[in-house]
Amino acid sequence: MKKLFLVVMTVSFVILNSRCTFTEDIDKLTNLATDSLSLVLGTPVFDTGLQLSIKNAKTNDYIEDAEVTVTVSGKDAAIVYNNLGIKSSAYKTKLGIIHLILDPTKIDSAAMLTTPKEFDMQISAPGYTSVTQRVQFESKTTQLQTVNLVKLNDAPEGVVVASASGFASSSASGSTTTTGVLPLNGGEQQLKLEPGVVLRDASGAAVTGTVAANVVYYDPTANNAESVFPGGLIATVDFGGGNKDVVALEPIGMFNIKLTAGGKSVKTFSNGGLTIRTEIPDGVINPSNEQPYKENDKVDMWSREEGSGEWKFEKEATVKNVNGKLILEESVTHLSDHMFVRPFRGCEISIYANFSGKVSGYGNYTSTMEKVLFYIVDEKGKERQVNSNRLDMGRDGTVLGRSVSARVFIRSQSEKIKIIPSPDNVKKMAFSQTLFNIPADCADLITNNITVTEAAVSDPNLNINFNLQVSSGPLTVKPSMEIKYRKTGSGTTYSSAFLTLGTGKMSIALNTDYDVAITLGANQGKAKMKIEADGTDRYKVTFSGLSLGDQSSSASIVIQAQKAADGSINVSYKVEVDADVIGQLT
Amino acid sequence: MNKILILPVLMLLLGTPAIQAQDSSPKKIGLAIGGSASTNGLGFSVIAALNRSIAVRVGYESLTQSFAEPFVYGIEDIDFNITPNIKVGGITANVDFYLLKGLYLTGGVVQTNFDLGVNLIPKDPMKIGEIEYQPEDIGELNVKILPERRLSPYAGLGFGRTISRDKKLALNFELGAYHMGSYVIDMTGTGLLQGNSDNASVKRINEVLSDFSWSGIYPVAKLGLSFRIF
Repeated sequence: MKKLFLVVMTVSFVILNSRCTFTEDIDKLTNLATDSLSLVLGTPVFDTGLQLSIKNAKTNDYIEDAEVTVTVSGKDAAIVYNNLGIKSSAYKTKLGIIHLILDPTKIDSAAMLTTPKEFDMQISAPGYTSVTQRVQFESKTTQLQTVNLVKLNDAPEGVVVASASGFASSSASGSTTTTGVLPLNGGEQQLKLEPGVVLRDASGAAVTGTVAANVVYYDPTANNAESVFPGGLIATVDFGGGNKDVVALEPIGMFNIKLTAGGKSVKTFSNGGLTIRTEIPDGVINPSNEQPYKENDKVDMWSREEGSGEWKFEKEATVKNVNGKLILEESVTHLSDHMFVRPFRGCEISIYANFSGKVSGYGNYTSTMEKVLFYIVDEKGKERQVNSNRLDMGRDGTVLGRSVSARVFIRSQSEKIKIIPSPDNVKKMAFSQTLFNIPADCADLITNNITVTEAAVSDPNLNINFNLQVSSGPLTVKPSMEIKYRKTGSGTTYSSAFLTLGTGKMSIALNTDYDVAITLGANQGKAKMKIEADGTDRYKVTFSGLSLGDQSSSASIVIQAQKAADGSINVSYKVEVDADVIGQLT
Repeated sequence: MNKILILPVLMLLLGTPAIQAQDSSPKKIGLAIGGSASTNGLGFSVIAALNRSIAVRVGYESLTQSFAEPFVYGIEDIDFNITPNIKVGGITANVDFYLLKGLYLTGGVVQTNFDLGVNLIPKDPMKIGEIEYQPEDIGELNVKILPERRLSPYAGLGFGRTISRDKKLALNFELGAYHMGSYVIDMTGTGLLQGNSDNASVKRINEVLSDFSWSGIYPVAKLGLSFRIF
């Protein structure tokens, strides 16, 4: 009984000193769960798409003085969306940046190898030349492409722009009544339209009235020919009979011609055509015999399909000697881009770069932000970036053992392939091998194992760790997006910080103004960002000159941030928005 | 918390030799094996009687239950198929102290497997922008209620005997509870729901939960049968 008494007393003590709060605690918990529990939803990371930079061919800077419009057409246009997964008849930008993605639910890596996904872009901006270009995907990759447009009233070296408001006249039937002659470049090139040629638009209707001519001529001998040539000097061409190939172009000259009258654009000619003439610049080499061009050599004339941007063989022209000048002269019966050229076939190969290794961990998430860049290095050591692809890394920083692939066009066997980590990667990586010979007979390149290590670099820049969230009520969206940034006034290509589920890194210099740009679907935002030390252990992050779409704000956003132990800065920003904004994100 | 710890500690104290010495029965030592069914699952145990008043039990109990048919619950316009999963049990080590012939107090520790979870998978395809994603593309949420600590004190009151004094078979019924510190909600996600792995609102709920006096207590009702070997 003594034991029982002792235990009963103890239990009684415990019970008497306890207060039953279960019911009210449950109420409190229920209220907390109802009011505060949020569901976090990420936006998709699109692994196949196009980062398109549209630049002024002369300044090599993004076109911001005109709204660029990109329309998409072609075989797989139906699966092309902006980076919020929204389709548009015309994607527009005032920042010179367009991000298009392919519907990730409609693409299959294996199928793409045999049936590439492709679409055509028509890129135009008021006051600039237009470009049509085909984009093709044979693997899941984000292609980086730059398209240079020529500003008509400020053309770069190697580009001649000429116009004549009264180039010719045509009658009600569309038949020209005068001779139109438009010399360019001191007469080295010339357009000529004889009387009696009938002008028609794309629908076949007669084009009547005073005919205005606008011509852009691209000089192949200019130093910057490769960068200003619309669509680049490596392109898909149609040899006819379904025989298409990617070739390297060494044009003698290219004309982009627009004739308009009475609000209509001339598309075709009948009862004759428009004569295009160009002198062959001195010293231009005929790639078929590696000798300078001479009289009676043959040169192809090619025209570019509207929409696809694909070059199509038209006819063979013969080099003439006129008063000691070598000239090419041909008549065309439709208007598009026309080019005298001898294309030569290189080969297109697949690269399968195999990676292993480890860098420091990424925390909570696997990383889809690291990229591998593929370059071609020519015989003279000149490099050109030809592709990029994603290098997936595990949470612990281990390479998620997969081959990173890319398709590249090789001009000659003596070129080399360079594979490097993107300088914009979150982790500063080093590869054990970066330069590779091209396999014989255009075979695919399957690399030996490339070991990835973390480069020990002393980076004077400050690392910013972003954590962005957009909330409305109990739903929080952590966006997967790209932040582009560059030093204000640098005129350089933007670097990219890729945010996955709202988190990502950016490396910048202190006390320096940066231009920051984001693209979220149809909305593009821009701001200036500056980070200053605020005492010894804090930073002040200032965003100013904010604009989003057509809206702008003169107010600045200032975020005070604590310096982390590793010297980096954690910038967490949670935006409370209306439900309809969330609706656009999800 | 301190209040809860008093009881098992007291139980162990009551099992000291000084108190045991009061029992002068000639049949002291015994060994039995037993089985049990409880809110902690089905289990087995080995019971050693040190004397007529004190017995030591070591055992293992387990209950794992999944539900094949999910039920549907909507969160922010998204319908989820919710599948609960229950896992309780663990390794137990207790000292039984007999107050009367058929009434005992018990105390000890449990290395608990406690894991109550629900798996949430979007029920229907979901549009993000204009692209429709299948549920497997969106990912899944796993919400678990876990113990703050797995090694937990246990105390209970039992009727009957965990090891018979004079016969081969013994039956007991026990009511008790173990205290795991606090319940901790753990939320993880995959795919587009991966961001829930560090969901700030879950952290807030866990902070509140840790303040509740009852948080972490798991009640046990157990029916046991044992067979005395010697």
